[in-house]
Amino acid sequence: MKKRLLLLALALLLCIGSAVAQTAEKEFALFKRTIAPVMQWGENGIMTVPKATTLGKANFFIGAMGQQAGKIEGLGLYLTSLTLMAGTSDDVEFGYTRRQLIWEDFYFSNLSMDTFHMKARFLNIADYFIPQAAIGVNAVSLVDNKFTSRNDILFNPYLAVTSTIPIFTPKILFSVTAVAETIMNKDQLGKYQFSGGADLNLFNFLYGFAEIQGFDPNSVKSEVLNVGVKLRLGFLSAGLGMFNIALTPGAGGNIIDQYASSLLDLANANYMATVAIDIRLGKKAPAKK
Amino acid sequence: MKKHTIPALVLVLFTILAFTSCDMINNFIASRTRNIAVIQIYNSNKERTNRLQPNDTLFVEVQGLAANGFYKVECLDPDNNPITEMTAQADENGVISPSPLWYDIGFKKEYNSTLGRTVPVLPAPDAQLGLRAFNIRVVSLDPSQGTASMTDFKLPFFVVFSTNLERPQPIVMAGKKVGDEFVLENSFEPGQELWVKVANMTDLPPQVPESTTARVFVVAYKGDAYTEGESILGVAVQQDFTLSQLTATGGVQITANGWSTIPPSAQGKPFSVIVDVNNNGAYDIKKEGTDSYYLDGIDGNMVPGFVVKGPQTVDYIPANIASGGIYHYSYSTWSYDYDYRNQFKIEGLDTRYAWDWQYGGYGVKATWNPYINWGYGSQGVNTASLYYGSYVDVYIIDSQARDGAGKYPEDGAITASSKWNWTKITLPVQYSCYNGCGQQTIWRADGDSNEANGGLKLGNYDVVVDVDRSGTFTKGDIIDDQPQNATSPYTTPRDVSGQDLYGGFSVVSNYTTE
Repeated sequence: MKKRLLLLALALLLCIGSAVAQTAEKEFALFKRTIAPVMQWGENGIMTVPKATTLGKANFFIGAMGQQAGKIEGLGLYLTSLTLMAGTSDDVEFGYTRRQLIWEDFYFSNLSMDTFHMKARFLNIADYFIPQAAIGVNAVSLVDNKFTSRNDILFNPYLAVTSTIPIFTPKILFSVTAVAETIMNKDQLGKYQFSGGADLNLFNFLYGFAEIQGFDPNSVKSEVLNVGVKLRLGFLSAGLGMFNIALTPGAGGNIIDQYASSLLDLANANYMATVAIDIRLGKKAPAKK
Repeated sequence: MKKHTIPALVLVLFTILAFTSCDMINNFIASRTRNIAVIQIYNSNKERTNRLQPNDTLFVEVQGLAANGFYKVECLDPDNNPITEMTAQADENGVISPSPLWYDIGFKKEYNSTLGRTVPVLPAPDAQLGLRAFNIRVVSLDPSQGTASMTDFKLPFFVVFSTNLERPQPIVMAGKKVGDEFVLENSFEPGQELWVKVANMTDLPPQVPESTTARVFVVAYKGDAYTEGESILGVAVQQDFTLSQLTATGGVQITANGWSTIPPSAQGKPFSVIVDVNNNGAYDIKKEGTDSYYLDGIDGNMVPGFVVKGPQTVDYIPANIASGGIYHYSYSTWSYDYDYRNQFKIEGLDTRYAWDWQYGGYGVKATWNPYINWGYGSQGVNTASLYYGSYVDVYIIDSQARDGAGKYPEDGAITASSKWNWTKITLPVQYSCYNGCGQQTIWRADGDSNEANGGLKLGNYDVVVDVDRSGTFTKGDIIDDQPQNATSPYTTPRDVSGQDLYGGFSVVSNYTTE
């Protein structure tokens, strides 16, 4: 029932029509997992899909995430990400992510990747119901992890729109997000991609998420679904997610029926885990009146 | 303010760690770094980069493996479907050197109803920035390692196809005309038309003397990479075309030098196509002093652009495959000598030292480009992935009975020689030119004559290219049971009367006259 509700909400609120994804969209989802910052799940992002909301002035966030990469000669390898994000104003945040392959005995490998992030919210009329909107960009090097030439940097600009709905009380918040994004190198643009998702915040303690990465309203095939939960205690939070769940819309006369009867394929799914520290020196910006 | 004390202290702590103790952090990281880059990807210019152009070749390097260990390296799409695969042996330092893993990168499979088969196509318009994300997986193949020390890991990678350079490198494609449509093709028959199309090119650079045309060369495939400024030799055809002709949707036909259709003299030979945009008779990669102003384009650098195949046979394709790898261009025949051999000395030191492929060193190489017949088997197009990536299995088997009766029984299992190190070896191959690298070591020599040390072992052998990877002899497989000087149609197997030498090649203590 929970799944049904979640999927219904996704289908309704993202207005995705006969949304679907082909390999190109799955590739975009894989690309996003490779370059996205560790999000403050449920706050400035869902899991890998950014939200229009920001950290707020003088608030900081340090997040770490890891996934098993396998083993070499019996020694385990993990692909880890560490993000430092800073809210420089009420509506702007900057971040840096270090992605590093480490061995199970906590030695580093010298395979690493840097990513830079920026997000600016330009629409914040109200905290609830009325959508907030932000633009952002992730930047990653294409050549040897160097950022010396603009030609060697791949940008991932996006537009995120988020609407937050209190369920009876502001302590229970349901939020939906839709994102349009592309890639850019110098002045050249790639194909537009769409993502979206929903999260539920219960008393600032328990969070639940579901997001769909990459869908194309013009074709019908399976999509990529990520789901997760997070627990938060004060400044510390920890989350567990499952990504790369193939979602095949089922039969039905309308989009709601199709998504309610959709099939989940866990064959290629994997777990991800995150640990995060919030450092709140400022307070959340009030909505502009 | 009081409520901010703890977060402020934490922030101060991180700030101190991050900025005032950089040396300490760096020293700590350095002391805790096992200096292994694990997996790196390269383009065909051997640059470590995530930016490639369609039609380029993706090379992969793997480090941190067991010395001399055997591995499978796969390129997987986001659904974990293999795009391509190779087997490789790490060197004494546990490194698989940069090896071609994915040819014709970026091409997708598309069924062409006119041709009645699947062909690779460029999926995106030339001007669009393209993205490809995939995983590379490395798995140990050596059962003696056991599961405890087994290697099995994968990493996600992405590449983008960018054309927004000062002047991007033209993408040159040899192909056929099907109706009004240009179809990429690497395998031709004599009598067919050769068409050329250039993508990714919107201008011709300044030329001396000034000209409105670029020169297209069809040259004998040289078996190695062209270097910056290298003279274009072995010319079979040269013809001038305007920019609009070269970039036309349907391509342009090669007609000069008796190539209005491909002449019979080209049969069994591989070629490259070079577009010399500044008409200086040399292959220029970039304009001097620039980083991204590319000049000439080529279809067939390190791999043939196309082959003119031998005559089609009924079942398996007899061909010369076993080579010493020391190619040279013969100006008497205007073609390359691919160093096919009947005999290899057990030491193997007179073969080419292959230093840059997945199974380097001295030893027996496989080279079979000139003899491909298209139209058999699956040829790598029936994989689940939407991407085109082709790979074949190669076996060295004990040579079969001389009389030929039942030598390679249809659907019979292909069983590798017990003297060989492998049960089979998987090689990525280029679209229809199955041996894309030109040559690859399939049996490494160790430099001595002691069989107990490994390396080559005395005996008579055939080489089998299992094109459809069925593990059985099937129509379309390529088999070397031929003498080195065999000529088309390659029907008489090697059989040296009185010397007990037969099969595609023999490993001997000393060379004998055949």
